[in-house]
Amino acid sequence: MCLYLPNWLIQRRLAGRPEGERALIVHAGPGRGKPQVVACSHAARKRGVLPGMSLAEAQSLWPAAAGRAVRFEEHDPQADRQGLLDLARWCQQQISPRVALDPGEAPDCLLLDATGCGEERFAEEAMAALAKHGVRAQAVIAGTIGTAWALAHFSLGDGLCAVPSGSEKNALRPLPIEALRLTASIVETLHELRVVRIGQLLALPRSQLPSRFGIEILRQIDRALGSVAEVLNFEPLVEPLVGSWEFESPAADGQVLNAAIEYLLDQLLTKVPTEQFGIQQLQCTLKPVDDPPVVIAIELLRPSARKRDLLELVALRIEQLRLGGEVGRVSVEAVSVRPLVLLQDELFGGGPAGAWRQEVNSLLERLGNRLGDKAVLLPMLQPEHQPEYACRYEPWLQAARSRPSPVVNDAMESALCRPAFLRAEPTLIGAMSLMLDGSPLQFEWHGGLYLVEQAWGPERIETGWWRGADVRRDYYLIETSRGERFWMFRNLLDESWYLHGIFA
Amino acid sequence: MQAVLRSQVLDELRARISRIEGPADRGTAAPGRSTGFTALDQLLLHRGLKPGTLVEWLSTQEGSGTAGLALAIAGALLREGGLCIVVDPWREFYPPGAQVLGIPLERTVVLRPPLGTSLWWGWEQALRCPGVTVTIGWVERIDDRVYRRLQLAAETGGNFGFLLRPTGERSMASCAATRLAVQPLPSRQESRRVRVEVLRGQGGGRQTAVELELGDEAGDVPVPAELADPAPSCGSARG
Repeated sequence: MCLYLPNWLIQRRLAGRPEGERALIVHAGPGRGKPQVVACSHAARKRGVLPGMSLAEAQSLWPAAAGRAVRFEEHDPQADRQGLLDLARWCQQQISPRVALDPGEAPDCLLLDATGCGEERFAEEAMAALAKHGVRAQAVIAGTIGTAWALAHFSLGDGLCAVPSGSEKNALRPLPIEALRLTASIVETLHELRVVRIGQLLALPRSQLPSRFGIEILRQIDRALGSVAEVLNFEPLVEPLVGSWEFESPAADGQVLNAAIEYLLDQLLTKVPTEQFGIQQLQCTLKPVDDPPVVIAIELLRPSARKRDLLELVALRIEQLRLGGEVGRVSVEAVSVRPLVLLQDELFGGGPAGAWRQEVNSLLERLGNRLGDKAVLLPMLQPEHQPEYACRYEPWLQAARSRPSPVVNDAMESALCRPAFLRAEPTLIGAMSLMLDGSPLQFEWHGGLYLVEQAWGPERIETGWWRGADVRRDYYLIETSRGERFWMFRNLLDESWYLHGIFA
Repeated sequence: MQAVLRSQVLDELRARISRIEGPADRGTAAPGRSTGFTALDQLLLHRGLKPGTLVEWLSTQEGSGTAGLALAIAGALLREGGLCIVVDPWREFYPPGAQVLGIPLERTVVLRPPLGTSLWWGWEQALRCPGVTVTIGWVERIDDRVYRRLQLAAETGGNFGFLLRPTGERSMASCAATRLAVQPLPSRQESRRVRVEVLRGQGGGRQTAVELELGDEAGDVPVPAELADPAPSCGSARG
C-alpha cells in the first residue's frame, strides 16, 4: 500500500495547522543558478506562485510591506526526510510495524505492507488515523509497489484507490510516463518521441527499448507490472517492544523464570495489535547475578499472537539451559512483529500435513528452536554432477518462510543410480580389477573380503576444476556374491578405489 | 463347525498376543496401509502396516537393502501426503538416492539432532505429530523406557515410525508392532532382490518370509513388484 502525502514539504512545515490565508513558500537555497520555488502552499498558489518559478519572481508578487502575509523558507531536504521518517515511526506504532520510506531522492510517501490485513479496511483506517494526526494522505492498494506509487502520485482521484491484482497494466496505461519513476533523461527522450503515456510506451516493441533507453526502462516497467519483484527496506522499529523484570531475590527455578517471562509477554502483547499482527521473532535475555547474560532467541514459522505458542518455545529452551547461577533480571523483546498471514493450506501439499498444518508448523518450530536451525533441514537437489555437491540443505524455518506456498523443491528428477546413504568422505579401499578401465573383481573393506558378482557402470564424473580440485571418477554399482550392493569409484587421477555409498 | 471354532480360538489368541506385544494393536483386525508389495501385505497381521505403530527393520549386513526397502515403502505411504522425517544424526542420508526410491523431498525434513536426549526428543516429537506420515532413521541402542515412549508417541500421532536396526538387536526386547528382518539375495537382473522375514506382526499363515524385488536400483524410478510363489520359510519368527 502506498500512502501518498500531497505537498509533503508544506504539510510538514504547517505540522497539522490549517493553512489559513498566510502563504508559505519553500525555495531552494543559494547554489547553482537562481534560487527557485520548490513547493508552495495553497494560498501562495492562489497568488500565482508555482513550483519551478524563480524566487525573485515569487517575491515580486507581494508588496514589500506584506510582512506577515507570506513566509519564505529555505528548502531543507534532510529535515523533510527526517520528518517523513518520524511519521513512519508514528505509523509503526499506530498502523503497521512494516513501514518503508519511498526509496526516491525526495520521498513524499510511505509504503506499507498490508498483505493479509484486509487491505481496503486497513487503508481506510490508516487514512483516518493520519487525518487525526493532522496529515492528509491518499492511499493506493495494488499488487506491486510500482503501480501503487504511480497511481498515488499521478491519478486524479482522492482518498482510497484499490487496483485488483492482474489489472495493473490497465490501471497504468492512462498515466504519464513519469509515473514509472524513470530518470529525467529517459523521460525527456520519450517526450521528444511524443511518448507521453505509459500505454504508448507499452505499445512499443519491448526488445527495442533497452538499446534506445537502457535496461532501466524495462526494469521499471517490470517492477510496475509485477514481473520483477521490488524489495522494500522496512524501517526498523524505533521503539522496540521490550519489557524487563528485576527479581527482588534472584531466582534459578525454571518455573519462576517462565512465570516472569509469561508476565512480560502479556505486557508486550498488549502493545501489539494482535488482530492483525503477531510476533515472529522473540528474544529473552536472562541475566545471572555473576555471569554474562544468556540470550534465548525464538523464531516462528509464521507470526503468532498466541501467548501459549510463544511460551511453549521459550520453555523448551529454558529446559535445556545450564545457568551458572541465579538470575537477577529477565527481559523479553519482540524482535520481529509481522502481519498475521493466513496459513496456507497447500504449504505441505494435501493429505495429512495439509489437514494438520497448524500441528506441522508447531512441530517445525519446536524442532527448529530446540535443536537449532541447522538441525532441521529441507533437502534441495542441485544441478551438480559431483555427488558431494548434488544436494544442499536449507533450514526448514527459513525455507517455509521465504516460500509462503507451497514449498517447492527445485529438484531435478533424477533417474540416476544413487544410494540413499552416502559417506561424508569416500573411503579408500583395496580393490582388484583385471583391466585398467574395468569394474573390480573383489575388494576389501572393514576387514572383510567381498567378491563382486555383478557391476553396472562406469558412470564417468569429471568436474570440479573451478573449485580448485579436479575430480575424475568412474562410478560403479557393485553387487557382491551375497547380494550386498555398494557404490564405489575408481579415481582416474591415481587409479585408487573408493567406497562412496551403501545401498543400505 | 469345528473349523469355525478353531478359527475363533485362533483369532482370540492372536488378539491376546497383540495386546501383550504391541499395545497399539489392541487386537483389532482393522486393515493397515499397504506397503506397496502385495506379497508382504499378505504376510502381515493387518494386511499391511497399521498406522500409529513402530516398525523395526533388522538389517543382516551392510549393503543389505534394508533401508532401501523401508524408504520405498515409506515412499508408497507418502503418496497420500504428509511429511517424511528422516532422523540422521550421522549425516549419511543422501536425498538424491532417497528420491529415486520415491521419497518426496519437498515434504522431507532431515533432522540432525545431537546424539543423546535430543535425539530421542526429536523422534518423539516427530512421531507425535499427526501431520507426519513416516519418521525413519537408524537406531542402534535404545533404552526400553525410551522405546516405549516412542511407541506411545506413534500411537498418539497415528503415524509410522520406521526404525532401521542392526540384526544384532534381534534378540533384544522391542516395542515395535512389526519386526522385519531383511536379507539381500543375489539378483537375477538389475532389480534388487531381498528376503523379508516377518518376526512380529505376522498375519497367521504358515508362511513367515517372502522374497521381494525392489524396482531398479541401477537406474530409473523403482516400481515395487513382488516375485511370485515365495518359498515358505521355517524360521523361528513369532507371529
